[in-house]
Amino acid sequence: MNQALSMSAVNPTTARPMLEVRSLRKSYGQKTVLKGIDLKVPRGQVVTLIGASGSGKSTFLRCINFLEVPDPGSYIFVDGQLIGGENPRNVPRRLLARQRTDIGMVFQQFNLFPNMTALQNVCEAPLAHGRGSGAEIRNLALSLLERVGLAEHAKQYPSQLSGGQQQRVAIARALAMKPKLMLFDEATSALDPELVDEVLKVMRGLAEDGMTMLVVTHEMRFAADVADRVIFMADGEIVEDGSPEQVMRAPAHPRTQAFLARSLRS
Amino acid sequence: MSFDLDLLVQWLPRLFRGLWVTLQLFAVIMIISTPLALLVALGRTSQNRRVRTAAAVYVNVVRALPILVVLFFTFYGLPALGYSVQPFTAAVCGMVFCTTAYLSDDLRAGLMAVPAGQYEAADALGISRARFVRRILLPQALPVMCGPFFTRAIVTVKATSIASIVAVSELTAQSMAALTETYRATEFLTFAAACYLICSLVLALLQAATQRLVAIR
Repeated sequence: MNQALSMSAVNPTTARPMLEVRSLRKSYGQKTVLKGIDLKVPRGQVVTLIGASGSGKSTFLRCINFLEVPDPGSYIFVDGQLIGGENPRNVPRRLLARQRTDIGMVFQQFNLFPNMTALQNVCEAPLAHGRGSGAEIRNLALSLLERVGLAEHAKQYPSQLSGGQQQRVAIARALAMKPKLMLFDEATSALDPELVDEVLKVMRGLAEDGMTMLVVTHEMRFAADVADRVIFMADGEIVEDGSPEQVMRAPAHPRTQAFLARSLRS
Repeated sequence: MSFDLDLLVQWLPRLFRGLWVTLQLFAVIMIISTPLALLVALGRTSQNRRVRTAAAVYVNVVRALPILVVLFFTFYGLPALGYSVQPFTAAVCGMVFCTTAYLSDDLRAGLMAVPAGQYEAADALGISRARFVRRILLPQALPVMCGPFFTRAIVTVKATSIASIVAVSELTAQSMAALTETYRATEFLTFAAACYLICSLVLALLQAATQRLVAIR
């Protein structure tokens, strides 16, 4: 932490990475899924994680907000805050709940609350955390639904919306806590092909607005066009890490080459 | 053998007193068992392993016990241990003990119908477990719980007749009393059967109404 302190003396906001991951390991019994990941993501950077299924990229994402609790000795800092406290075996619930509001997450299966309207879905977390009056939260939620192009669908239930619309509501719901970092776990993988673009457009807009984003995706076009940085994972490790041009046009590692050859062909 | 309606009418006051006791017994059991069963069901889906184990042991032990043995225990056993209880109270204790376990398994099915993604979405938003249960889990689980809950309620109404064996003067006990005094079976047993049938019918109607109330779009 001394390092971080001396850096913050130079420039308190830009020098400190928005996300810092140190020696992140995750195993289930004998099976090790993440083999020690180190990563720094500066504020406002959009990082895409690519790799074959089973390479650990989703687990990596889920460790960041402790949906999966990392093995002891792993450290995750979001905007300088150590997520989950010192001991991952005994995570204080209150602390974690508060820290999680800094980390928005969007799931492959949307996971909207089906018993609530789009508007209620977006309002739920700010209400739970007492972020302002009912009217303020409602206005915030309406403006977020507007931002994802769904203002006129506010009163509809998830079952009345298309997959693309549901995912955009889910993005608005995650944004409602004003997170510092957004995680996208294959956000377009469950969508019909014609619905993918409307979700990618919203994600692109977020990136342009300076949101720090970590995006697990199979959308190579998104990785190439929107991301500042592409990370290729295999067997629970980061194999390649660089600009989209570097990783996607001229991959150094043979495994990256093989993966890209396969996914660009399909 | 003819159906002696006059004899039945003569006994009606006692039989209705029995029916009233049956309804009270049923109501008290359900009112106590339902919240307890919900807690046990939540316990069985808890993240805490000890809570999960304790709930599972309770349910599986009770499932293995005949309800009559439990009632004998609360009726004869509790007084032997120095707790003097009325027959009605003994019956309530024993039946709540069993019904809570059965009902918790019925309710658990509803909880398990809610996909893991709902827990994850709430966790990722930092929503507390208590709020999650109230605002997200139960509204989604209730429509699924509805059917099994009312089936259990109907089973429980009928099961209250077992209380007749531990000296509770409910419907079956009163019918049997009439039978032994008059040596006429058809009149009183038909009446008792009709009462249980009507209770079940009312519960089935209540189920339909409740299902409409808790339905999700």
